[in-house]
Order: sequence, then structure tokens, then C-alpha cells
Amino acid sequence: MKRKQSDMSEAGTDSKQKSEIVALYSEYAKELDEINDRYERIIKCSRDTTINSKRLISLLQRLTDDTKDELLKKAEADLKRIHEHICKIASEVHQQDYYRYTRAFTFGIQEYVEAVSFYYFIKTGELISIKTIESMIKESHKDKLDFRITISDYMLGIADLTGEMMRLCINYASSNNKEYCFTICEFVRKILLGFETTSVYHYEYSKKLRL
Amino acid sequence: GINAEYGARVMESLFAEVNLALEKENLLREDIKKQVKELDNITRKQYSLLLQVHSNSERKKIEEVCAAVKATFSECATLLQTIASILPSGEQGKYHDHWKSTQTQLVFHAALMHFLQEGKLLTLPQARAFLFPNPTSISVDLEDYLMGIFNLPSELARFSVNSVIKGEYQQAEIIFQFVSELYTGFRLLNLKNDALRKRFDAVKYDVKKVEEVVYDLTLRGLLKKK
Repeated sequence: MKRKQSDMSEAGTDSKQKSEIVALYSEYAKELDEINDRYERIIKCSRDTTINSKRLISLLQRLTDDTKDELLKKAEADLKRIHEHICKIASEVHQQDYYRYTRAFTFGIQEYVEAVSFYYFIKTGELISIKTIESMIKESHKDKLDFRITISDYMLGIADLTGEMMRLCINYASSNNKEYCFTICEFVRKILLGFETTSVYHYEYSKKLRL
Repeated sequence: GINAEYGARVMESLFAEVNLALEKENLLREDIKKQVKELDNITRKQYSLLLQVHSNSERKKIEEVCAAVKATFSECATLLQTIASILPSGEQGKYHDHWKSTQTQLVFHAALMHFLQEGKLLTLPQARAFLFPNPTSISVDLEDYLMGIFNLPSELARFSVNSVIKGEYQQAEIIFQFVSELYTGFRLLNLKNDALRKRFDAVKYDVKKVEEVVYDLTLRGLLKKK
């Protein structure tokens, strides 16, 4: 050690060193608390997102030809509420490391993707893109903050969507509009085809596909 | 109809885009892994160098070892800079897991070196300056730093025991002071039930070991009275 052995036994040096380390770790503790608190807040928003997204999906499953417009209006109101929760997440990760917190909100976002893409299909017959989702979120944010939707969350959400689509298809099989069943099937078929080409690269997706 | 065709094309291009992005990502990860592999080689070399102080802790040997380790840090900085340069902007955190444990090791080595030479705790800004002498898009984050420092007590406990074996009793006392102070600091952290917490829980055994060494020495009257 550079310091002379006798120096170390001086009480002054010891307590100075002690308070230095304690002061440092008080700082670090504060910083860590900030990170952990933010993580907790995001988890709460993610849970709210999940719950409301699941409700929206249940709502959309009640689709019939007669009630379509009414349903879509209700769905849009639900989406507004979901966007409020997501915007909270967007505000929390703004100017933070987005990827540090992904584990806190990934499930909520996946559930949201499933719900919003379900709504979008009923409304337009098309598959919603990541860009469209991102601009919907941005529009609904009071400060127009950007919020990234990762490819992973998007794909996993869409994979779950196919399950809901099949359920909808079965519901429609007993209705007067059997053509819609074929439309749905065609839609799902195309999604699965798209997934086939990407599952080579991502093990997670292929797991979902087998389901 | 026409709408169906359009819809199909939209979907096709959507998945084509996704595919492309995933391909790019995979290639990038391969590149990063290559750099990290080289980084790990250096980290291993550093550790074997540092282990030498357990058998020979003369001031001269410590300076020699620390100089050698410091030299390897410039290689590390270059590799880390390379990694930083290939990361797409705004996505550094996405790939962080690839070098997270290596970075933790590097912090630990730097802190060990710093203690051997200066007898003090390497601070977070100092750790950052050590690993990233030039500003880059990545840096040492708080958790990697804390984890790196959590590794210090166990190495110092070993060092304490080996010091006593060589008859360097004061060294054991110095380590005891340092590790106790460190532990006081550690206990200020509010840790969740994660990897950090698990590592922290093990630290108390190292503290105990270091205390026992000094206790032994005190009993035998081998420590200079204050």
C-alpha cells in the first residue's frame, strides 16, 4: 500500500475514508432508487395496459354485422384509455434508456398490439403496421412524445392476434355472414406465411407459431 | 378483389421489412459477440495478472502487476469503442447484455487495482474514465459498477488471508477497515430481489472472513497497538 502503515491507524484518516465511501453510496443508493421506482411505476402502467387490452379484445369478440359501428365506437373509447396508460410509460422512458425498462412493459405492449391490431382488422381489414401503432400513440400523447414498438413486441402481439382471429372466425361460422370467415382465414393465413419467413431468425416466434 | 391484393402486398412488404431488420440485428449481434470474445480474453489475462499479488505482495510486485494490467486497459478501451461504433444510435441498451458481465469484470479489476495502489474505492466516474477514456455512446451504468464492486470483498478476503501467511499483518488490518467501510456503504442500497441482491447477500461472508482474520491476529497480539 502506498500509505505508510502508521497512517492507516490514525483515526482521522479512517473516518474520512468512511464518510467518503458512505457519501458515495448514499448517492448511488439515490440513483438506484430512482431507477427502481421508475421501473415499478412502469410495471403498474403495463398492468393497466394489459387489463384494458384484454377487455378490449373480449369486446371485439362480440362483433356481429349489425353491431359493428357501435362496437368500433366503444373500441375507440377503450383504446383512448389504453393509450393514456401507454403514454405514461412513454413519458417515463423519455430521455431514459428505453431498453433498460423493456422487461417492465413488454407484456403490456404485446397485449396492446394484439388488441389494437384486432380493432384495426375489424375496421379496415388490414394488418396494422408498427409505424401506424407508433403514430397512434404519439398522437394521443399530450406532448407528442415518440414511443418505440419493438419488432419483438409487435410480432409476439400479432402471433397472439391469430388466435383471437380464429376464435372470431368460429363465432362467424354460425352467423349469416359466412364469407367473413373466409376473409378472416385468408388474413390469418397470410400472417402465418409472413411468420414462416421470419421464424427462421427468431426462435420465440416459432414457439408461438406452433401454438 | 383489388383490396385483397393491396392488402396482401401491404402485408408482404411489412414482413419483408421485419425480416430485413431481424437479419441486420443478427449480423450485428455476431459482430458484437466477436468483439466481446476478444474483450473476454483480455479480462482473463488481467485476472491472472492480478492473482499474482496473492503470492507476492511486495510494493514493487504490486506496481509491476498494476502497470501490466493498466496497459491491457487501453486494449479494452479500443474494443469497447469499436463496439460503441457499430451500435445503431439510440439502441445501445438493446445489446448491452452482450458485454454486461465483461464490463462488470473490468470494473472489478480496475477497482482492485485502484485499491492495491491507492487504498481507496474506485468511484463510478473513475470507473467510467478507466473503461472509456474517450467519450463514446456507451458507458458504465450504475448497476454494472455496483456489481463490479460487489466482487471486491471476496478477492480482498483472500488477499487478507494470504497477507497473514506472509506475515504482513498490517495489510490484513487495512483490508478489514476498507471492507467494513465498503459493507457499510453497500447496506445503504435498496436492492430488489435481483442479481445484485443475490451478490450482495454473499458479501457478508467475505466481511466475516476478513473480520475473523483480524480477530485471530488481535488475539495473538500480532497487530500494532493504536
